[in-house]
Amino acid sequence: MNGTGEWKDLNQQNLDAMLRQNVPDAPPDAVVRQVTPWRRAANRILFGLFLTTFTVNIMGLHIHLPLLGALLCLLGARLLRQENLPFRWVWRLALVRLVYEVLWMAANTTVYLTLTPYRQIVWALEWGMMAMTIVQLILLWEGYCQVCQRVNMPLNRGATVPLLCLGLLWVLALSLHWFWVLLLLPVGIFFYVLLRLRWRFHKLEAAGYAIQAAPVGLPGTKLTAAVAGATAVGVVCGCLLGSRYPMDWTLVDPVEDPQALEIQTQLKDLGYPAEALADLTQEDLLACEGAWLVVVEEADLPVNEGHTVTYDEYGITRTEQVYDTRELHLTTVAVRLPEQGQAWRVFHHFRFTTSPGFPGTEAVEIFADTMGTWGWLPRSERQGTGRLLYDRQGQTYTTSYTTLEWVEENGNTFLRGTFSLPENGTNQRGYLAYEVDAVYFERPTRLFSHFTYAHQTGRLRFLHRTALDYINASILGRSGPFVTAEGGIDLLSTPEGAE
Amino acid sequence: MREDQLIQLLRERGEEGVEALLQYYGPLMRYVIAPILPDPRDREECLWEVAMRVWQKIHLYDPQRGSWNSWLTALTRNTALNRAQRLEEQSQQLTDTLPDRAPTPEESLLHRERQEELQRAIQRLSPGERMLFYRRYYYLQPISQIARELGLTQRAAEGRLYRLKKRLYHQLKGGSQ
Repeated sequence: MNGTGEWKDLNQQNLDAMLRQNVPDAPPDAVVRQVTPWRRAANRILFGLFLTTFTVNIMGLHIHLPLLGALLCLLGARLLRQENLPFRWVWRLALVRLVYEVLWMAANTTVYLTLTPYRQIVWALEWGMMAMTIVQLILLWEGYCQVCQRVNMPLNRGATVPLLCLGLLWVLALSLHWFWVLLLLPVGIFFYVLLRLRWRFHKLEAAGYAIQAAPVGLPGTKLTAAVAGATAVGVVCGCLLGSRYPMDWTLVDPVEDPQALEIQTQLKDLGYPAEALADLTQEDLLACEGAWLVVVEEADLPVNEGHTVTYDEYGITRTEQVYDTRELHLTTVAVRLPEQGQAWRVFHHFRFTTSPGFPGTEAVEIFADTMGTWGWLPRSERQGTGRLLYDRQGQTYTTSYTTLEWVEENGNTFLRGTFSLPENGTNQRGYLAYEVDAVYFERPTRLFSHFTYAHQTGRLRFLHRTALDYINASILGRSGPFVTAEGGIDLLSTPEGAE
Repeated sequence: MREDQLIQLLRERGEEGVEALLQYYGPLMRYVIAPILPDPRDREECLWEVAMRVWQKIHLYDPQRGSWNSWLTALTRNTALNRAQRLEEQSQQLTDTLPDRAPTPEESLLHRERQEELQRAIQRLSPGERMLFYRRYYYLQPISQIARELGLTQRAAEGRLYRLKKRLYHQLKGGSQ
């Protein structure tokens, strides 16, 4: 026990009075800095605005940090909302931003943001939020200037000019699409404005003592819990309701064109696997008219986790992943077309031999040389065909890919498609096809066509929303709820045929 | 105006120093005075009194012992408390039977020892509790003001203060047994 009886007269009734009488003569500097109606609110607002604007696309931080920033901004802005009109609007915009970030978090657990009809909306919202941040900074500064004027404190409105420049640059970049050119300039100005504002607030902190903080009805902890709860509900709803692409399945139309049927027979005679051949559309069959050579590569690949087997080899313990089931059958067929030169039509088929499991998002990617990088160019305008099929109760259903587009990256071209498999049915399958012609048709050219299939195995996703996100991240194998399987064809095309 | 410029002006004993003090630090001084003196007229008079005391005692300010804001806050608070005490005394009828208010040497010693003990107890508090303590018992701010500025409801602020007092009570009482 400490002390020598100085407080022996202390009791519950005189506690307050004795504390007041014996308080230290001067408060510590750290306490004096904190006891102000302005500093806590301003720091929260500025840091919140920083988090909502500058994020890093690592581990999902580009989604979580803005939500945290919006909450911080609101917690700070609500204390100032009754001081003057600009501060009140900072608070109102902070509220709008928080609601937006909660909805944005939920939307990011769905597949809809990746769909073409929504991309323009997403783009507009992102630019709108950036504009809102600029407006909030201007209003924050204006609000503080009004406080300084109210207490007759001299003020140099220096930050207004950089803020307006930032706004002007944003409008310019938006209207002229000079985003990449002007990216560094607005970023630099934004950092300067934030630091400058913070410095000015610090220099004029004395004026902040005149601010009357507004009472709050909901404690910060409860508000945070409410936001977390709403976000969790949104995320769960997104995972449950938005984890599949909307697919429009219809009964498949049988091939009736006599010419197409004849071509089908010819392809079968050349060695095209019958099961895969039956999936081709009439148009794809007609595109193979006159084909005189077929090269086939097939593989059975697993999308399950398998199990680990340990064994001894020459005294060394080794482990190996073993798959009792290989659910995905890949068939790659290269069809030589009757053109002067070396024209090929390449088909990549995939088929689930057992149930694919969770019906989430799927994605396929073909690495195809159509830019002449490896000696091939597109043969015709008709590129990137294909469809999806499955069987149910003796009927076959078909639909198109949700998205199917060519992408150019680092001098290479990729054909990427996205879709969702049906929740019931069997024999889920599909294919993609494209055509190429050799640049130098008189000499042998290696034809390499690589196929990647990304499959979603579970509902809970964190870093990647869809199988396409997984492919875009260039991740192979299994990670989280996604897994990839690869196949393809590699042949040496010659004027006479193939080797 | 920079802080060092203001201090220099005050040390030069010019009127500009007092004007600058009221212009740049008036809000801080009013902030400290407001919870102690409820009447607006008393506050304004106290503000001028503080300015005069700063002008008179500027030579006592030592940056090594604390920041300018801390020194000014302490001076303002003490001036406001003295004024509040004077107003209270003026409102009572003075008679010969009133005891001498000046503390005895023993009382002064006891006061100093209590302050040191309380200072040690305050140091054991978390930064947030420490700030809450000073707001309530040094700045003498009402619960409503503390709640508003900390972004708490009044009930939450009362709860935090209750737990703080309980903790200090046990520390101080336990140290005295």
